[in-house]
Order: sequence, then structure tokens, then C-alpha cells
Amino acid sequence: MNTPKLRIFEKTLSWIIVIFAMIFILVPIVWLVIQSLVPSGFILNISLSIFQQMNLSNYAAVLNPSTSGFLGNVQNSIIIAAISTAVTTALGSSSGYAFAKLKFRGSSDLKTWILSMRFFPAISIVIPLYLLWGSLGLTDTIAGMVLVYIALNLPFSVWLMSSFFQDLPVEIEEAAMVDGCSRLQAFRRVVMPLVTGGLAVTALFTFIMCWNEFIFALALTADKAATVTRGLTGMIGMYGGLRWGQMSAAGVLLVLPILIAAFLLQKHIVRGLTFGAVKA
Amino acid sequence: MREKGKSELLAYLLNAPTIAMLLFIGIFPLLYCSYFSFFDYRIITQSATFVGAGNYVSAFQDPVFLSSLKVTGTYVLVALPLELTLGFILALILNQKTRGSSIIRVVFMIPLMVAPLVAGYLWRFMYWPDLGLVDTIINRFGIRTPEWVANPQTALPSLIVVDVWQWTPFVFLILLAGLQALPKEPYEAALIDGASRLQVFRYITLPMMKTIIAVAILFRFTDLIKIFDQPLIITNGGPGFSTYTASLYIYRVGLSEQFRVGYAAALSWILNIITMVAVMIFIRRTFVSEEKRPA
Repeated sequence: MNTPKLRIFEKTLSWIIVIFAMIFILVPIVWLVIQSLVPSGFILNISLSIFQQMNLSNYAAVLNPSTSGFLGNVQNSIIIAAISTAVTTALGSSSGYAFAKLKFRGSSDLKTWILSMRFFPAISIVIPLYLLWGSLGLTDTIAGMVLVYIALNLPFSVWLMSSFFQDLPVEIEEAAMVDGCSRLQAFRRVVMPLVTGGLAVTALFTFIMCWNEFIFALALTADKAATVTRGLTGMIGMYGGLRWGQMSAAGVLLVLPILIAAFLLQKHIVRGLTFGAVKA
Repeated sequence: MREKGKSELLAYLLNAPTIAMLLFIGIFPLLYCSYFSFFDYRIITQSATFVGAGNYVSAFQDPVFLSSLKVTGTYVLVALPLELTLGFILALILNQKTRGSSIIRVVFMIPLMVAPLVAGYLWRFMYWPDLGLVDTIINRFGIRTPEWVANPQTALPSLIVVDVWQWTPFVFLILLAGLQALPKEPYEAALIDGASRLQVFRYITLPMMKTIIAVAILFRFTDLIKIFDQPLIITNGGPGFSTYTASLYIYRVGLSEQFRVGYAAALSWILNIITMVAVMIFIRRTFVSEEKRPA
């Protein structure tokens, strides 16, 4: 059955499938980058002459604070994502440690409940929060967005951190406690240093999710606390029509830092994507 | 015994902030939402009259809502199997290859990291009549193209292509990780027994991959059922109502066009219940039945 001919056919076919998939994935991205470099933003004829018209004018326009609010949005997003990430990772590791290392009644039910909060369609929380944030004065504020993003990313952070704590053998902590450390000391001096990698992965993923989030930013921010995604939708309204070049430049700027972060996360990407359920 | 009580207390203390946050920005809004789903509550007029189950009754007579559920259902039922199949095929191919596979993995990570909103704009440009890359390429061969996202027949399939572009890599990466973690012994045994490759796949690979496939389905399902960003940007629900997903319609009803938050709350609870029931049935059928079976 495994004749050489069939083998060669199979190999060729697999390569064709893989190459086709790569082209399908990459072409839109490359096209976005090209559009962002062409001043008008659209390319009427695919030819080498487009390389001659390329420049950075779209980027200059997007990054100029007097013509575009993009930099302000970037600043908001960085502040919101950084605070949310710090708090979420701290709370996630505290819960995650409890689930991984301590026995208590209702442990597995509680953990499932935390995960289930992630499965609710966002829209059913967006609508009541819109009203609640309005009456609490949290609409369009950094604090309001930080609170939302902490809650939104907690299920992820708890589950992922818990999976990293589970990887540590029980003996490590026990040995430290036999040597006279209290549980808290053992946690601080022995356990935490061993999960710094896990903390970094959790934090980076949380940051990415805050940065890319859209529906809450759309409903709960308008101007003062507008994030990058919210700002991008505002760009259309501002100019009446679509400014392809500038929109593409903003899109590239929005995606680029995340891709760099993802590159650092490579090894942990599957684990992160599945909340720690699948370890690669 | 005292030691046990102490560690229980510590566990609850460590969990307290997480639970408090999720009660405050999870459970409480959900309950509040279900409360005013019984009112005809409008933001613009600031009026709220109790209507009992009225909103729920009108939901099932609202043709746009019913059609939005159908659109969402189609999204799930078409995109999910496509992503699973393509992702699985790619994972099986790249599980064997070693050369260049790390570069390929990096490439496959890219769409996952693109904000869904940016993916929306990206593909809106791609599908742009005449000027977009899709038309530029196809027209070159002298083939006339439909207006992809402005045509009721092609709008939803075009959107599904975008989702497949963005999320097949997710399924692929998860399944590849699963394949690489499989034990070698069953395959060696099958080789000795002379099983065909199709049999090996059907009776060895598939059963061992069951849990991982289920994880991929669970994550994709719960994301697809709330899909919002891409249809909003690419088609804005149109043409007509052909790409109005449930979340998009609920958002319109509640927060952007009609400001009927009471009705939107009822609609979002219907979507919640559908999601919860589907997830519960799925988990029960894939995981619980397995645990109950004697090992």
C-alpha cells in the first residue's frame, strides 16, 4: 500500500496544502503593510511601480497629535492594559495557588464557576454595565475600563496560573516548611521564584487581550479613555470616508507590538490559548 | 485537623478578591440585566414600565432577532467544522515534518494576535469592490465578481472566510500540540498488527485526541456565538439583515440605535440561555460520560 509513488504524491499534496495555507494567512497581512506605505492607501495596479510611491506619510499623519488622536489612544490603552494586567495577574496567582496547592471544600465547583464566567456572551454584561457605569460616573474613565478588564481576564489568569502552580512538585514547598519557613515565607521565597516564567506568560497574554478588546471599549469609552481599538473606529467618523492608508498604518501600529510579544510567547502560546488546559 | 481548617481559611482568603471582582462585574450585572429585562426601559426617555415577560414574548415575534439567531447559528455550524477540519489536516501534516515547522508555526500564530477589529478592517479592504485585493486578482483573469460583502448571497460566506482565516490557526496549534504529546506505543502496536493508516487515525488518533478536540470546540463555540467585531466592521449587519449576528443586533437595540435597553436585556438573556444550555450539554456528553465509565 505504501508504494513510493503514493508516498511522493502524498508528500507533494501536503506541501501544496501547507504552502496554500501560508499564502492565505500572509497575503492579507502583507497587503495591509503595503497599503499603509502607499500615501493614498489604495493600489490600482499591482506592479513594481508601487514601490516607488512608498513612504511613511500615513504613519506620520497617524502619529501627529495635532491631526489624529491615535497617540492619545495608545497612551490610554497602555495605562489601562498595564494596570489591569498587574492586578489580574496578582489576583490570578493568589487564586491559582489556592486551587493548585490547597485542599478546600467546593474547590472544583468554584474553579468551574470562575471559568464559566468567561463563557457568557459579552453583550449580556455590556448592557447592564453601560447603565451601571453611567450612574457610578465610570463611563469613559481609565478606572472604569481597568475594573472591567480585570474581571474580564480573571478566569483566564486564575486557570493559567493554577496550571503553572500544579507543575511544581509538592515536595519543594514541604521541604521549605520543614526547614522552618512559614507557608507565606515558603510561598514568597521558594514558590514564587519558580513560577516567574508562568507569571510573565499570564501577564503578557492578559496585556494582549486588554489591548485587542473591542466591545467593552466601544460601549464604555468615547473620548477621554478611548483605547486603540475604540480610536480606530473613530477614525472613520472623523474623515467621513475610509482613509485606507491611514487606517492601514494605524492597524499595523496596533498589531506590531502584539506580534513582538507573541514571538516571545511562542513556546507557551497553546497553553495560554487554552487557559492552561493543554500543555505544549 | 486544625492544620486543615487553617489551610481552608487561607484558600478562601486567597480567593476572596477574585470572587468579589467576579460578583461585582459578572454576576451582579447579569442579575441586574435579568431584572430590567422585565421592563420596557428606554434610555432616551428615561422611562421604565414593568411589562412582565412582554420583552421575551416580543423577542420570539421579532423577525430580525430570529434571523440574527439564524445567522449566528450558521456562523457556528459552518465556521466551526471548517476550522476543525482544516486545522486538523494541517496539524496532521505538520506533525510529521520537522524541517521548517517552527517557522510555519510562527506564521500560523500571526492571525491569532491580530485584534479581531483590525482583522475586520483588513478584510473590508480586501473585499472592497474593484479596488480590493480579492477583486484585483480575480478580475485579472477576466472573471466578474459579485460584490462580496454587499450581496446577500455572498456576504455571510465572505465573513465566515474571515473567521476561518483568523481562527483556523487556533485549532491547528492546539491540535498539533495534542498530536505531539500522544504516546508512541499504540502506533507501534498498530503497525505490527498491520492496521491501515485510515484505521490508525479512526481507532487510535481520534479517540486519544478526544479531550483536546473538545477543548478546541468549546473555545471556538463560545467565541463564535458572541461574534461581534468583524460583522460590525465589514458588513455592519447588511445587506438587509443577512449578516446581523445576535450580539450585533442586541447592541443596536440596546446601545446604539433604539436605546431600548430593557428589550436588549431580554434578548441578551435568551442568548445567554442558549449558550449555557449548549455548553452544558456539550460538556456532559464529552467529559462527564467518560468519567462515569469504569476505568
